[in-house]
Amino acid sequence: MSEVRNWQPTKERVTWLSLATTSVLLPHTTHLPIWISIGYAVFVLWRLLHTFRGVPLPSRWFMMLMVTVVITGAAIDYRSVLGRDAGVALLAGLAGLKTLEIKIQRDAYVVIYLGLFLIVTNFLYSQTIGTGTYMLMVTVVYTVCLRVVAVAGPSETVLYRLNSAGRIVVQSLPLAVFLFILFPRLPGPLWSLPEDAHAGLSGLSDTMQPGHISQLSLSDKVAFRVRFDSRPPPPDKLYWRGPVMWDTDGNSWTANTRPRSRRLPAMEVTGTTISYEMTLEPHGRRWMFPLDVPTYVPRGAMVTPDLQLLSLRKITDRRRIRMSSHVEYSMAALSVGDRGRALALPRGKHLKARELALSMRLRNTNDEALVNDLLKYFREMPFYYTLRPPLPGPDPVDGFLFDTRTGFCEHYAAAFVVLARAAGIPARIVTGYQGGERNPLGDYLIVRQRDAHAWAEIWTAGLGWHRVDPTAAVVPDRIEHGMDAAIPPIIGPDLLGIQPPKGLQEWLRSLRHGLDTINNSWNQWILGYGSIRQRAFLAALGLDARDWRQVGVWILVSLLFCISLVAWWVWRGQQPVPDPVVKLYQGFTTKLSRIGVSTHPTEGPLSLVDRVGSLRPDLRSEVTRIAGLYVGLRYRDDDTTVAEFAQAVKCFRPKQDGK
Amino acid sequence: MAAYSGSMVKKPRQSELTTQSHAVLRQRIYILPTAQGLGYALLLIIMLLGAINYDSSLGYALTFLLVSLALTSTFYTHGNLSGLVFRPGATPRVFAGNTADLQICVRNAIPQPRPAIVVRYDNGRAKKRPMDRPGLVEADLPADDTTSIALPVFAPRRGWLVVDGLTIATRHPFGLFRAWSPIQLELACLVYPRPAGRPELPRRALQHPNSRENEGFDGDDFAGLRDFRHGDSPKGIHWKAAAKGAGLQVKQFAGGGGKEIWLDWLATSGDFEERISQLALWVVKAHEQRLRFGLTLPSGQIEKSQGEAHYHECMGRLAVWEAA
Repeated sequence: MSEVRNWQPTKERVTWLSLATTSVLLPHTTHLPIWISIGYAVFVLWRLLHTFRGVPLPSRWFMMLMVTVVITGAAIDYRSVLGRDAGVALLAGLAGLKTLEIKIQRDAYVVIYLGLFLIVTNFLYSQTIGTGTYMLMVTVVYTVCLRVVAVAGPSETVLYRLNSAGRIVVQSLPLAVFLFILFPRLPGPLWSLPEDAHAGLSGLSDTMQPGHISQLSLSDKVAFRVRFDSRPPPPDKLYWRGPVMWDTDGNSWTANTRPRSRRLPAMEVTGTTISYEMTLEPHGRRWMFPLDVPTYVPRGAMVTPDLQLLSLRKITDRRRIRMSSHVEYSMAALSVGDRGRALALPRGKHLKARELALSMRLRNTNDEALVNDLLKYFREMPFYYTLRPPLPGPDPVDGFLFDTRTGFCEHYAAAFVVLARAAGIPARIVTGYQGGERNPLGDYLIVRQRDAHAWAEIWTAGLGWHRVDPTAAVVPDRIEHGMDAAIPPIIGPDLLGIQPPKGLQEWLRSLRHGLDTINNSWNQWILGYGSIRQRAFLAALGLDARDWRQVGVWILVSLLFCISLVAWWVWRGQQPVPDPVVKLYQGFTTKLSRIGVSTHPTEGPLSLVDRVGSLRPDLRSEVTRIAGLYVGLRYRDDDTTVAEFAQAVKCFRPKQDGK
Repeated sequence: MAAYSGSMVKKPRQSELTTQSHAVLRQRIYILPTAQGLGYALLLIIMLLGAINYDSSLGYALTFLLVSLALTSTFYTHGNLSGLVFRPGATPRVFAGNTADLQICVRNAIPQPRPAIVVRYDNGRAKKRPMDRPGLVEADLPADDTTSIALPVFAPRRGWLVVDGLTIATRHPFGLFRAWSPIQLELACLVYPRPAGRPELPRRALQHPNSRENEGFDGDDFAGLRDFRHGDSPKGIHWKAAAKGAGLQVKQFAGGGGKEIWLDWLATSGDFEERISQLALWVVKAHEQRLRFGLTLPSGQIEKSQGEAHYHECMGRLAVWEAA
């Protein structure tokens, strides 16, 4: 029982559907394989050419072949069709093919539903304010598609379509907001996510190769934000501790995260405890980045003997963690095994470096003097600090120390640790972040990927492990004033070769801070609105989120509220317009009733004329004229105008007694 | 005669048909999701599971927006029907075996257009043959206007075709929900018998009247006024006269004269319906040839005359005539 008026894939329908699908796929093109993007474009162009120019559509066999090509292509390209990326590629290819073959209404709905699902897949890659806004606009376009595809209706302009779709989306927002707040959030995934679910998250890794951290430093992405309970420590104390690396093969360094326990290793701390709250961006690994030495193991985390703080679960969503740290501490003895590990060097590597270390060792018997000598070496030799170091040759440490002398913090840290070990001082590399930018608007510290850093820790008897930062010897500004001081910002006006005036620089900085404040609120309140935050938020409203019945009642109440709001809104626009002619005629009958001639509701104008004529002959001609005009207007006679009728009714002033 | 399409009745009372109208009340509108709506619900469930699994806040947000969008659309669907007023329109006559376009006047009193209003008539027959398909028409109603829409209904037999139990429905705006409401509107159409049989007129019955040979044949001459009857086109009404209080009158135009003929029941053969079809064919032929003709039935006579009104009177008599 089809009630759909002979559905056709009209030009308007095909155009809107192509526009919608293309706009939802546009952000995906950055990570889709190029052949999918090209294939999609070909399919949609073909369709448009068919609809507008009558180019014939491909045969069924071609379509089946293309479906097979898309599926096998994705399977080969991603080695699976189940992951996030492969799934998106498949959906994109199928959306293009389905657009190409729209024949009946159901095809159009399939295209729309595929597209709506593709909107959600965009959020797996990016959930910024920009993405959110763009996708809201795409949703409006899809609303137009639904409207255009569902029923034919009169043809309308693009603006009218967007306007009415926009209105209905706006009308839907209140309920969506209530559902967003109230719908119970479940923690954690329902089933295990495919491997690539969180690929592309950037951050420090458990291995350090020359060039890895400088790569990170090209990124302006936020690593985490920190809000201190009291005054923050000075910038040169802001060392955020990440992976600790003991072992090297002469080229790369690796971190060991075992054993871990809930108990902190034995150490003595002095000075004040620094308490702070860290909002960690997802980076797909376990490291949390405590300030220097953590003195408290947060819930859901463990600690290794070398003070790496590790989350039990991989950090795949934004997380807020309360932490406390100390910057002054001392540690107990070093075990024999650990001492061996902290002195090990790969056999037959770094020969020139060993030689240098031995010569220094011969000059200094005191460890402290030796370390100073090493730092002096870095300071006085022509070392350069750069984000784009040249390739160091077969032995990265020797090449860096004696050849290029150009490197980033990881080169300095690695070279220093090798030298220290060769000189008989137990040493290890610590990677993490250094510094951070204070946002005066939100009063918090932003630490970005570009603040990634590597430094060394050496063991001194009596003092235990303590930090030595060879980079600080070369570029003290890096430590005291942050990356911007050491190396100009990657993206900025000076890229154009123009040094902006100081005022503009300040203004740009405050603009950046303002934007980050908005971003931070978006992250905290929209993206970070998970089960924990929901519970806290609802509790502030006096609701217990764990009580499903209570939440259910609230959802119902808000549903009713929003529905009556929308109902009022829709029905308000549907109040009948009063017919001016009817209104005037009512005025006329009211005037008659004042002189005692009341009208029956069912009485027509002509019988009224007869009645008035017999009751009040003096009014006969006037009433006849008015009734005639009324009849003429109601039955669409072209000779009569509303104005004429209005004038006649206005002039009709019957007196109580005609005589 | 087997009952069909509602019921076979004697001619309905005219007054009843003209005054009756039906307003669609809010309370009588029903609404249910369509197949597309169920597909949409499935999509939302998948999206919600995805949002939960990937813990994507914007995924939740979009899912809830789409839920809300569908719920909001139900008000548009519902409102698209609410408050419409239906009146039967003037329906043209139709021969049995053809499709009658039953006219319905719909008043949309609101300042917004109402797209895609479906009027549907289920005749309750199995939908095997194409002619048994339900009568169906979809129309877009402009804002604040009255629209006349034609509902095609198959008229299998002569007599009064009375159609009631109509349904109006709409899927506006997204096709996710279908709202419908039964409307209490009785549409009637007089179905003329199917003209069939020998095409040539009965020869012996042809008569040559003495005079009137030279009277004009064209029907454009103004011949005077007569009282307005229901079914007359408003264009024919003499408004000037009406405005002067002379009542509604219709301008009449006269046709020419010619040969005269009696079309007699006794001149036909075959069974009852065949004989009626034969007479109908003769009436059509005689009318086409602009003859003056009269109709003789066992139940009585229609005097010889000519013109549209006479033609319709004869066909009407044939349409409703039942053997005693």
